[in-house]
Amino acid sequence: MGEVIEGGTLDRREVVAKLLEGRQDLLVVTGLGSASYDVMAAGDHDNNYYVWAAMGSAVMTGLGLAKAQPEKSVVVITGDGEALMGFAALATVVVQQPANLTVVVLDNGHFGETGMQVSHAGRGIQFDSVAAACGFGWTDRVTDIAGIDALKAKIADRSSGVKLAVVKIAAEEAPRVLPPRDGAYVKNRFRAALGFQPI
Amino acid sequence: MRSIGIETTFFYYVAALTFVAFVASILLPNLKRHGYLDGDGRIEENVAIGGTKVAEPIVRRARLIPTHHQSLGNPDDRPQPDPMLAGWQRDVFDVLKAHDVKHIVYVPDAGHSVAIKLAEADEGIHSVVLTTEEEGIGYIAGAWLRGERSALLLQSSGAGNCINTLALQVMARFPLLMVVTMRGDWAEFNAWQNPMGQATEASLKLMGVAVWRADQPEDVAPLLHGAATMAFNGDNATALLLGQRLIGEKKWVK
Repeated sequence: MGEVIEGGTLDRREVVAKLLEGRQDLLVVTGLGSASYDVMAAGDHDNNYYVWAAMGSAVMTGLGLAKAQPEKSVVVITGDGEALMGFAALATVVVQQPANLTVVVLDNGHFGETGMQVSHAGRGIQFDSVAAACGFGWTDRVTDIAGIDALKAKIADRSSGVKLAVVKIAAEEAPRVLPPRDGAYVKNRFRAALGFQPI
Repeated sequence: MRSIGIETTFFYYVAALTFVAFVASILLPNLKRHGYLDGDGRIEENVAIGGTKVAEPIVRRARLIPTHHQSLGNPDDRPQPDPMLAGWQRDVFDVLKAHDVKHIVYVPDAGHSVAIKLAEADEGIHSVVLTTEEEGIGYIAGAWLRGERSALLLQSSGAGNCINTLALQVMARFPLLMVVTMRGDWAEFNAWQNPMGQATEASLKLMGVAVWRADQPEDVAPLLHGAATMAFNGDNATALLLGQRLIGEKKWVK
């Protein structure tokens, strides 16, 4: 640990597009930065909740949603840097054991938004190992595109407890595809899709 | 003879007073209303949300301790009812329940122990223990996406942990109700609590949180009701600070 390890090879846009392809009533929360752009690039959707700030909050936002909406699957798609800032949230999630929540960490081993500095993940921290140690019911380390199919199939599974997959993506910047930045709009749109009106 | 006369007079005097009091108790209008003691020692408050009553009234048992000057001393020295049944700590939980709060997310503090115990025991409430307070803001944002109300219980030191994350509330605008037990606020033994305790109110206000504080037990229920009303009816961030004088000095040497 400590030395820079080789990152993944998967294309982040291909990974996210494949993961969300054919989605039905999946609820998606994105971490700030590139993960949000990836989800937007796969197609804007009323059931997407993009977080533009409050770094480290994506997993917890997904947890709150999953606890309040146990009938639907919730997927948090975030980067390794964003997830590291809310690292301890993995412990909070495990205590709650929401079987409808899946955390997907797009891990390029770098802080991509700030100049591609090597992150903790890039220096050896493995999210799937940490999640398994915390007590996640199912974890996976995806290094090839076929692994996305397995992950996708697992999202609807309710027998494995809370799930986490780390997807090893290449440390390359994709063109920015910006989701809406009006937080109240995204919130109201998301709520309206679930049948809730603005106050 | 003379002493019998005095006794008889005194008897009729007392009897007359008793009769007058009895008649008055029947004829006077019912004084039971918001905040007044009921005949059986209960206090009722009707909590209205959005103009309509949506929950059971808050019923609190009469307290042994609400006098003003006594609280200038150490509250721990006063006779206390069982805090699980009565008192301001119980009020915190009852007001949250009356406002249909479904998620109580918290970093523990002794001052919140009653509400936490009651939340953990309540089938209708998700109680969520956090590792750090800012986790609660994301959680509450997520639960609100599905239309469910939450409250964040924290200590003043934890308010500092929340500052950047409060941007989520400012931008997305969702109800964020915080109940903050104060340290470094009054008669603090551990001076390391003082910097954040002294900065708590100003910090929260800088991030757009509306703040009230309660230093008297009887203020907790109405102020929390107000903060909850303005959070849930206004998509606002609101906080009630529970002063250290209310909570009592922490005993460092037992």
